[in-house]
Amino acid sequence: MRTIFFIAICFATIVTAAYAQNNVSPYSSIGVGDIEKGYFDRSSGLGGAGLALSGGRFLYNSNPAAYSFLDDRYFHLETSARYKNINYSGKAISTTSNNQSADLQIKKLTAAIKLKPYWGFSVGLLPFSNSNYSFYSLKTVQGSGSFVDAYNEGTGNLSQFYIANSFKLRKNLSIGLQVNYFFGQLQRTETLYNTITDSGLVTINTQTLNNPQFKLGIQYKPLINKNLRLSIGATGSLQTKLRSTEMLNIKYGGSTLYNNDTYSTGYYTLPVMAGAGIAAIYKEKITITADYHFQNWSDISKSGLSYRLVNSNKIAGGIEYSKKLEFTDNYTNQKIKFERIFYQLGGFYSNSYLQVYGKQLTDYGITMGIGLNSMRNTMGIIAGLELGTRGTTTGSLIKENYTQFNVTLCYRDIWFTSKKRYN
Amino acid sequence: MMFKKISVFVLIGIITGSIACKKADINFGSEFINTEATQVVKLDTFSVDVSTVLLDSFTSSNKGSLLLGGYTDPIFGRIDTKTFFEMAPADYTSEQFPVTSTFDSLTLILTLNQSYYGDTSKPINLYVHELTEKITPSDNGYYLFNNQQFATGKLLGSKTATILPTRRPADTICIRLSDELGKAFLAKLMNQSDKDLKTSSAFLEYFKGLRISSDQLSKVAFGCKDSIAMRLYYKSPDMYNATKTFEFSISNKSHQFNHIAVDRTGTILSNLEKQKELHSSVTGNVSYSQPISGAMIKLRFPNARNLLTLPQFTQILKAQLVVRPVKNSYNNLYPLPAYLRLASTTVFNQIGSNLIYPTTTASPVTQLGNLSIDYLNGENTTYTYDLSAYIKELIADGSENKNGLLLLPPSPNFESQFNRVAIGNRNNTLNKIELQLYYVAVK
Repeated sequence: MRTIFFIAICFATIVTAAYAQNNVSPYSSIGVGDIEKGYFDRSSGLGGAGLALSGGRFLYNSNPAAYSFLDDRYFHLETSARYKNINYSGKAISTTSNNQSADLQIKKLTAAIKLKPYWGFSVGLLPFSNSNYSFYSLKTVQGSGSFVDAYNEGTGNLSQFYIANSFKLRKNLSIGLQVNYFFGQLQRTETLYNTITDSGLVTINTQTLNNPQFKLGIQYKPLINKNLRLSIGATGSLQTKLRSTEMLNIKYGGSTLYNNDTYSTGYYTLPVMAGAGIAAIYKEKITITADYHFQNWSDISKSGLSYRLVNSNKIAGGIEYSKKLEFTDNYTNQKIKFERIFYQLGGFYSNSYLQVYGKQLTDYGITMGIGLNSMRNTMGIIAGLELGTRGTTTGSLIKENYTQFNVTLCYRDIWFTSKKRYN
Repeated sequence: MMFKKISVFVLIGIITGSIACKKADINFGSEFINTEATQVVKLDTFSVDVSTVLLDSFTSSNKGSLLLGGYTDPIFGRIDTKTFFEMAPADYTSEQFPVTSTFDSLTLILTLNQSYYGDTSKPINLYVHELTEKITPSDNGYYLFNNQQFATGKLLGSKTATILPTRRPADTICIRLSDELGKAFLAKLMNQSDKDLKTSSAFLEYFKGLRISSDQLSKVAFGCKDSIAMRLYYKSPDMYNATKTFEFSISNKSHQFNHIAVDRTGTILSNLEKQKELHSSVTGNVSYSQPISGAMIKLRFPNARNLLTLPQFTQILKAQLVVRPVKNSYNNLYPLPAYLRLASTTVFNQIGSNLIYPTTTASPVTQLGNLSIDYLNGENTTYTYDLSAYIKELIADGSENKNGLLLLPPSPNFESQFNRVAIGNRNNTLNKIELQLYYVAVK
């Protein structure tokens, strides 16, 4: 019954989210859009730093090596939703009355199974990037010094479906291989209008992207002494070419002027991405962690009229306090620790892959998180708050101050058991 | 249970969030990220073929204007006008004309319509002649043309006048006509059995009409209203012995027409009559329009279909024609036409339908050029037209359209006003005609 209810919620959120893409960012018109910087998992409250983290009850999606540390014989299911409110400032914001946008979206659906004590397996759907924008600008009339007005609109996203296998090589050493299948569609619509055109000249460019990517991860978490465990983790993926097909449709005055379903076929290259993290876990209560991420975008040397893709890097870190209850198993008389609640505080600073008008966009903020596990059933919930700032108001750029609220629902159940546990 | 509650809250939150969606207004006001696939391109080097063509003849009847005088135009030559019209007597009763009535005078009264061209400071000699031939429309019985004339008899009167065309209320010119004619009219009015003045048709048999002309000395051509009157002054003995009047007026306006004679000898257009068309390249990269004197400007777009071969050409967005009158070719003495239209035409330079504004409304509006005068240095005086529809048609039409468009004032201005224009062709350095094309290029 609980399972059905949970699945129903997941379904409802997916359906609803499809209608709720309203957060606009003009920056998401560049490249593949805004690349998601987090995984909407337990690391969200720690500034997104999760490369060195693993757990028995919650999924850490940033490092595929983490799945083999999940509790044995359990089946895990997680879904997340995000509410985001953006406050814009800058010269390009024409009115002060309408400088906000807000939306709520389903962000992920992941599942994991601990197949063997040494083997964790996970599949899921994660967001990679999303593009959603609408803004007015000008466009040069070639061969003259004049401009036409342009209204730009874009929607779409790039998602990744992944399958990850994680193996424990030693008690404290795990490696993981994740196969991501990227897929998505980005639609960019440009409407030109002014006295030159008696009706709008609408250009719709629909880009479909897909291809697999491989990601490797490793985690090593030695026990330094009775109370302190150190954990280090790293992930990396090679340059990946996403197959790209662009359809171009141009309409003028209601009739189609130009239509080409294979206007351009080629590749959109994702760069080398690497990350490393470190964590210290004290008495299984306090965790301090930090991550560094790097994406080598400048090798791809993609640039446009006013932008350039540049190397991006990010540092993130946080601290977590976890409150555990201790029980004694009635059958085995073993002591069992049960995590009742945890609190998180974190922060991040990143130089994004966009350089617009010569300025690399930065994104920084603080995060807070709280997680609860139900004593009565097998569900858990993580709630996170993120306050951040992206961009700058210098030049004609836009600064986005955002507040986002994440909720992750976690469900788990016994997958199979070697002996009968319940009567 | 607690989790069910939380889940319900999440659901409610999601639904609320999707309803309460907000979007921000962002306007960069400059170039940001635009698609490179679609480009709007402006092209102003497109060729426009400009020439002066001869307007053989045009309907000059019933234009509401009597043209008088003449002037010597430095470009168009010597232009002289004559006007022909029929008169009709007013209705009368025999009581108005007792047999004791005595003749006073007969006067022709012209009211200026305030249009003029030339130098108004010089006096002008006007001559009124009686027609000896009935005014008869030539071809289908409706129209009279600028090149028609009818025979005249004796001179009825003349006057040397200095006109003040801009005076308001309108200036009038009175020309005293011969007493002999006036007395004859009065005699017929007094004679109750005489039918000549009873009806206009009977009067036409008796008095076929008038012609007003001037001589080669005139320095101004001007227009009069077609409410011209011939007034008979007489006295009939009564208590006051007051002067009484009886009026003749124009009854059939379609028989009122203007004759216009042009002598282009010695001007740049001297070969126009013979060659019918003078290309702007042989007349100093300038073409001339004064339809009333028979010169019109013809514009052709011989390379329109070459647009299709332009790189990435997809669609015309707009075609704007900018016509630039030549600097110093117009001034207060020789003003520009306030309106110039573009009309379709044939090989024979017949005037066809007017170019209208692109509009979806039912009633078409003729494009008249939106004249903008650069009073400062004369280089940016322009007439502008939206040729989008026309150029699109030219491109769509498989065969090359060699007929082009005529540039001329709307009717009745072009048949009754002397306003003229000289425009530069593509090679005119200062006042170049320009077809500005905006098109979509898809990369």
